[in-house]
Amino acid sequence: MIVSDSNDFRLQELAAGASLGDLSEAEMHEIKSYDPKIFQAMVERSEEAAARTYLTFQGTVPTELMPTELTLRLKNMARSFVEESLSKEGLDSNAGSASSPSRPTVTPTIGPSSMSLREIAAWLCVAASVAFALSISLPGKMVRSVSLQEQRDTLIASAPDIIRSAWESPAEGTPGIDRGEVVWSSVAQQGFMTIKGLPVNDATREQYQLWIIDPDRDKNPVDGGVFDIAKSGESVVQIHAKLPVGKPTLFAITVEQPGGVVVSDQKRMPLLAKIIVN
Amino acid sequence: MLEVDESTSQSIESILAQVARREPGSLDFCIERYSNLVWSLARRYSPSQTDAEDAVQDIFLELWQKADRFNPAMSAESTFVTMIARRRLIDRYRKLSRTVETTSAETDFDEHPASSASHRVELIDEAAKATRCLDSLVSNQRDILRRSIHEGKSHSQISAELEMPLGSVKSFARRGLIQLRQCMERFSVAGSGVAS
Repeated sequence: MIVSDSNDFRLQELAAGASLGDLSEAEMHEIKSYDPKIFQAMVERSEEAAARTYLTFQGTVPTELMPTELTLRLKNMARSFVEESLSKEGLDSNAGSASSPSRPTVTPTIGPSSMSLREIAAWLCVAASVAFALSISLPGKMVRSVSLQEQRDTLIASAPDIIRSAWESPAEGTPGIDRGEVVWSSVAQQGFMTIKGLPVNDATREQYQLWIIDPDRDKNPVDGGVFDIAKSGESVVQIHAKLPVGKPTLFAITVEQPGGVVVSDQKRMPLLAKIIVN
Repeated sequence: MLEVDESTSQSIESILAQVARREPGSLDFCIERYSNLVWSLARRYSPSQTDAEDAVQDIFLELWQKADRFNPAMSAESTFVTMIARRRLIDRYRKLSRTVETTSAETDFDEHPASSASHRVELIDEAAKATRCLDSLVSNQRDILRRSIHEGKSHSQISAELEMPLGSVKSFARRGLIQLRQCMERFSVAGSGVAS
């Protein structure tokens, strides 16, 4: 029999148990005898009362401040979330969807209720890639594309541990020539290279590869990703470190076979940037 | 002191609406406004700092996704944020303790009861009313609810701490919460001018 009376005391008791997180398996089964909408509505009312109760108690004690590193991670996550939302709206608009542009359009199957943090992180990476791909493939659409230069500037402005170092040429060793710089945040695990004067490469024959030296983690350099220089002048390249980097002491760019290598012989190293450790 | 000041609710009510519209900077503002509230909750309800950090990210993601469901006529924004956070944390706790499958995570905020207007809360004196309702509880009920809701302790932990049978702790907590809800809803009815 389905009970649909919101005044039923047992229903109120089970709803209170649900909002306090103490339902037993037998009680979870018992819930099925209640009208789901009536029960959920009662749970929500109980949750609201519990939330107000929490805030009342919380008002009497000091509040612990959230760590700065976590705030930074959240803000990075927020940027990816907005980009994904905007790109999704762009897709909906392109497909003639009737969804309102002012409302979030989040695919239910990728909500956090069914995802681990690792899955969320992977999803955000995919979302960022989709946003980037859309910015290329849908010119003229209402898709906001954040340039690498803007991302670099945001990182510099927001990360608490930014390190910056100018590139130099180990072969030429000519001081005073502006070859760009590398910026890196270990907290955000993000970084960007500004590169000036590297020759345009033929990606079918060779590619550039970044290496990051972090003696605290390993004697072997960390692969920072393979990239191309497509035009002369200045290029901004995002660093894609394959492993976490804590205290980098040197960034080095080598020329390798297409796709890069696992271990570089370092025979061709056009640029490097040393980090001065105080 | 509590970071979220209900007396300034008029100025912060629009944050979630801005987040729902994905207005520039609104998500960052949302993080800055509610980070300490969510962090305090997560620290109390999580077994470790790492788990709390994971939980905070889950909570904010869900908050941004459900921002358009916030109705300022129903409750204060901080109450909505706390509801989302507690639900997510209890859901995570259940999964961690591998006890029962959760249902709360699927609760839809659109499913307001038909009599939703009857439990509308006036924002300005919301905290004062909640305090009066808490004061109406007997002391051990209030103590058990503080340990459960504010400190995030399981009823088994509370049972051990107070040397009280688990069944009694559950019963006190549930009945105390029912009493609080009814008290708060009575205040809401009076405050909104709706006859009871």
